[in-house]
Amino acid sequence: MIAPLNDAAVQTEGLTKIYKDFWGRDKVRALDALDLTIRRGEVFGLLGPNGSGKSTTIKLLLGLIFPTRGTASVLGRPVGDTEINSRIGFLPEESYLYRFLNGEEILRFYGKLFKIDRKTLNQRVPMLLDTVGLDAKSRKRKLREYSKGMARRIGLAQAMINNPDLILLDEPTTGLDPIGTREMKDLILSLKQQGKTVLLCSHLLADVQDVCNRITILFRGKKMVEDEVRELIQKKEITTIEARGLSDQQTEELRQFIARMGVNGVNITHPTTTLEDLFLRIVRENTPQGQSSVGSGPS
Amino acid sequence: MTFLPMLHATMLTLAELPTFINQHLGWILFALIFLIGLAFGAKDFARFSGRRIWAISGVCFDESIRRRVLWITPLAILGVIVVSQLQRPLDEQDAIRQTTKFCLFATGLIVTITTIILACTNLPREIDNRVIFTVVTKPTTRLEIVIGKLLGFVKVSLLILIIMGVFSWGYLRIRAWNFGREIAQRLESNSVPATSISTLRYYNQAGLLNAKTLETPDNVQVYAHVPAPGESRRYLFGGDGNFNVGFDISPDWIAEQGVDPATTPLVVVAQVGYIKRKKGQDVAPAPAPAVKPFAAATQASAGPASRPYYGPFIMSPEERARVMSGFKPVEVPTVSIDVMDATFYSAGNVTPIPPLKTFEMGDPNELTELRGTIDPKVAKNLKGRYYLRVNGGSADAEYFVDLNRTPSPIMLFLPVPAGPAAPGQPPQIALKPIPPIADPLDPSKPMGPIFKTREGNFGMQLRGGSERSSTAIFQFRNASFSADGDTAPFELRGGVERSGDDTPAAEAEQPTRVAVRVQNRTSGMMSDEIIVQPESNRTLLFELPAKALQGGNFDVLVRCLTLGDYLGVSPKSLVLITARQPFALNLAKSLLILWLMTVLVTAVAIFTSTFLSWPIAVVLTLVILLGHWGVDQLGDALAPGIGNQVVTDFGLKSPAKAEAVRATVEKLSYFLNFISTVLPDINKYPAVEDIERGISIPAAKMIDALAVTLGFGVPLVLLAYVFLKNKEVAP
Repeated sequence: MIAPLNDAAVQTEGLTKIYKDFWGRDKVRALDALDLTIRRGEVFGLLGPNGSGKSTTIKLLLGLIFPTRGTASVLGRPVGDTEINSRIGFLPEESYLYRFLNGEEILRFYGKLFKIDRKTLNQRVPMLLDTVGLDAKSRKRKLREYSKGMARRIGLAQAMINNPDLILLDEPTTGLDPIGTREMKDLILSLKQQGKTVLLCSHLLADVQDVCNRITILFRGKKMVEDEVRELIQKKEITTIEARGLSDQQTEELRQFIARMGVNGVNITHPTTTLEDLFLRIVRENTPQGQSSVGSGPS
Repeated sequence: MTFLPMLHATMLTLAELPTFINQHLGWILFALIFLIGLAFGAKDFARFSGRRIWAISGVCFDESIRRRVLWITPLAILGVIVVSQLQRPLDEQDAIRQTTKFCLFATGLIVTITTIILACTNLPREIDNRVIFTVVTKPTTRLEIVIGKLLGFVKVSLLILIIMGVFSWGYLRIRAWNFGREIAQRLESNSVPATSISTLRYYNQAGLLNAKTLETPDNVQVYAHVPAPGESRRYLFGGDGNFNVGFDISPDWIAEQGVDPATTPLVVVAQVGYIKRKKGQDVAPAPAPAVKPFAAATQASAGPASRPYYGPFIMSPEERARVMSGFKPVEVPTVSIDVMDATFYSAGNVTPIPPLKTFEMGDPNELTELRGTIDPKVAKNLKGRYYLRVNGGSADAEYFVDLNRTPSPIMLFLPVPAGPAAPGQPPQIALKPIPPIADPLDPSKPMGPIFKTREGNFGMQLRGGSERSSTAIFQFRNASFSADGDTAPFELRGGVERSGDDTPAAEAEQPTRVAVRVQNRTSGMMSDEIIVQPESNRTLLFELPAKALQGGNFDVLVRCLTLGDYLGVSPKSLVLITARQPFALNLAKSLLILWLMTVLVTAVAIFTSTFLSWPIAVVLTLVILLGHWGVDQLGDALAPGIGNQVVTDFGLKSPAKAEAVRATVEKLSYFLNFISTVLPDINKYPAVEDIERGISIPAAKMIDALAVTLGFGVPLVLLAYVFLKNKEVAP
C-alpha cells in the first residue's frame, strides 16, 4: 500500500510544457506554470477552449509526456511512477482501444495488466459491462464494429476495471446520446458518493456544472480561475429573496417598500447565470483584439 | 560542411582504438548497454511481471492473427508447390534437395518479412492512434511493453513456422515416397543406365529424406603412390602434383629485425628429390639419401663455376658437339616454386638465385637443395598466412620429399644484417628463419607439407590408371565412430572428367572404377581394396571394415582405376556416416534456427520502431540485419592495402592527393569493418545448407545461432526499453 504524502489527490506546481520543433527550438507553450490542487473525494472540472492545455495537463499527470518545468504529484507520488497507475483510471478523449478484440476480451486484457486474478475478473467484467450498459450481444462484438457511443462506454468500463481511487475522464460524454450523457453524469455522481476523486475535462459546460464541486478554467495554457462552481456562477449584484406563503398584498407591500428605498425593476430572487455564460465571458475578456480564442499561448 | 570532417575524425578515432578494446568490442558494448539498462530501469526490473508480459504478448498475437497474417502461409505453400513442379532436377535426390530448399527458403522469407512488418509498424501505429495511452497508463513498465511485444511477435512467427514446417514435412514425405517408388520400379525393370545403377541403389537403400551425422576428414593429401609402411618419402607426380608448406608472415616482425621490407627479398630453400618414371613399370624407392648440408649446397650451387661463361652460346663446346652429332642428352627435371595465399591462389613466384634461371634437380633418388628468392615487390605485400608451393615440372618424373630428414621440406628465411661491413666489402648478411606453421594436432611440431594435384572442375584430379595412379589419402584423426556391425558406411561424391584421347570408345559409356581401402594409423592394418563405381557428382554409398577404423585414426585411400578418367575430389568428397536421425527432427532443428533468427529480427525491428517512423524503421532493420553480410560481400575490397590499390587505379600523380585518398580509403575500410563487427552475422543462422544435403544439423550450429540471438537481442531489447522509457508516447 502506498503511503500518501499529503491529502491532495493531484497537485501541480509551476507545471509547464513547451513543445519544441525538430531543432529543439520552442514551438508551442501548451501549459504555463500551472498550480493546481485537487482534493481527495471531489469532482474537479478542467475547462478551456481547444488548445488551452487541458489534454496536455492530463497527459502530464499520466506520464504520457514529460514536463518542461515544474512538478506534479498524483495520489502523493510523483508522476511517472508506474506503481501509482494501479490506483488510477483513465478514459481518453476518444476510445483508443484494440479494435480487433471484443468488449469482454479488452476488459480482461486491461484487468491482467493490473494483475487482477481470474476469479475477480470473472465477476467484475460482466458487472462493469452491465454498469456501462453494454448488453450480452454487444460485448461479444469486435470493437471495430462498435458505434462511437458504445466505444465510449467500453472505454469507461476499462477506466474502472481496477476500482480506481482517481479517475481522469477526458470528454466523457462525447459521442453519447442524451440518455447516455445522463447515465454518465449519474455514474460520476455515484463515484463521488463512493469517495472517488474525479478529474473531469469537458467542453459540455452543462455537464460540468451539474456534477463538479470545483473547476479550473484554462486559457492559452494559463489558469484563469479556480473555485467552487456555486461561487463562480453566482450574480452577487442581484439579491433574490425567497419567502413561503406571501400573499399578493404582502408581495406588493414588499415591492413598494423596496421602491421607497429607490430600487427599480424589483425582482425578489438570486438568479444564477449558466456556467456557459461565465466561460464565454472569461474567454472574451482575455482574448486580445483581432485574435482567435482557439489555440495555445505564445511560446 | 562540418559533417565530413566529423566523420573523418570519428573514423580516425575508431581506427586508433586500443587493441584490447578492438578485440573485445562486442563484450564491452554488451556490458555497457546492460549497465545503461540497469541504471535507467532498476525499479522497472524489480516490478517485472510475467503476467503483464504474457497479456501484452497475447494481445499482439491475437491482433496479428485477426489481421489475417496467416493468410500468407497458403500463398507461400502454393508458391512452393508450383515452383517445385517446375524445377528441373538432376535426379530424384536433387529434386528432394531442391524442394527442401524451396520450402525452407519460402518459410524463412515469409516469416522474416511478416515479423519485420508486424514489429516495425506496431509501436509507431499504437502511438499514432493513441492505443498506447490505455496501456502505459496502467501499472505496466515500458520494459514489459517491449518484452511483451517481442514475445507476441515471436509467438506469431512460431505459429507460421509450425504451419510451414508441417507442410514441408508432409510435402517432402509425399515427394520422397513417390520418387522412391519410381526408383524401385526402374531398378526392378533393369531400365537404368549402368553408370546410374549404384546411385539409384543407394537412393533405394538409404531413402531420399536423410539426416546423417558425418565425420569429415581432417585433411586430404594426393600422393603419386601410397607410402609403404615406415617409409618417410612422399611422392608427387611431375606435371600435375605439388606440395605446400605454410608460413605466417608478419610485416611487424620483419620491421623489428631492422630491415626494410620494401627492398629486402625473402630467401626460400627447398629440399626435393626425384626419380624417373618408366611407363608401366614401378620404380622401387631407394634408401633415404644423405642430405647435402645447407652450406655445402650453397657453395656448390652459388659459385660462378657451376655455369661458366660460354660466350654467345648457352652450352659448353662439348655439349654442343654432342648435340650437333645427333646425341640427345638426358633432360634434367625441374620444379617451380610459387607463393600462394591462404586460399591457395597465386600471390607471386620464387625465382632461382642467379645465374640459374630454373630450379633444376640434381642426382636422381637424392634430395637436391633448391634456393630462390621472393622479390621484394612481392615480399613486402605478404601479410598473414601464405604457402610456398613446389610444383613437379617434368611429366616423366616423380618428385619426393623425405619427412624424416626434412620434416618441413621448404624453409623461408629473412636476410638480416649480421654485423658492420668491412671496408670495401658488401655488408654481412645472416639468414633468420621464419618458422613454418605449427601442426594443429601437435603445435610443438611444424605442420607437414600438404600434397595436392592439379585442380579440375570438381577439385583435385586423380588421374585414372591401373598402376601408379594418383592416390588421394583422406586422413581422419580422432574420428568418433562406434561400430554397430562389421562395416562402416562411407559416402563418396566426386566429379568424373574424361579425356577423349585416352578413353577407349567401348569404355566411354562404362562407369568409372574407383578403388578404396582403409588403413588404420594405429595398428597399421590395411583393408582389402574394394571397387566402387561412382557417377559424376552423385553420392555413392560404400562400406569398409569397421575394424580398420578402431581408435579413430585412419586413412581412406582412393584412386581412380579407369584409364583416361579423372576423379575430382576435395576434402569434403569422402565422409564417414556415424549416425542417422529422423528427417523430421532435422527439419525441426532447421526451423528452430529460423525461429532464433526471427527472435533477433523482432528485437531489431522493435528497437528501431522505438525512435523511428515505421517505413524508416523497416529500412534500418534491414540495414542492421544485412550490414555484416554486406561488408562480408565486399571481401578483399576492404582488406588492408586497398588505399594503395585505389590510388593506383585512379592514377593519382600528386603525392599529397594520393596520400589523402589512400588514408581516407583505408580509414573508411577500417570503419566499415568495425561497423560489421558490431552488427549481427546472419550467416550464423544456417537453416538450409545442412538439411538440403541430408546432413544432421549439429548442435554447435544451433548454439551459435542462439549466441547471436542473445548476444545482439538482449542489448537491443534493453536499448529499446531505454528509448521507449524516455519517449513521449503522446503525439
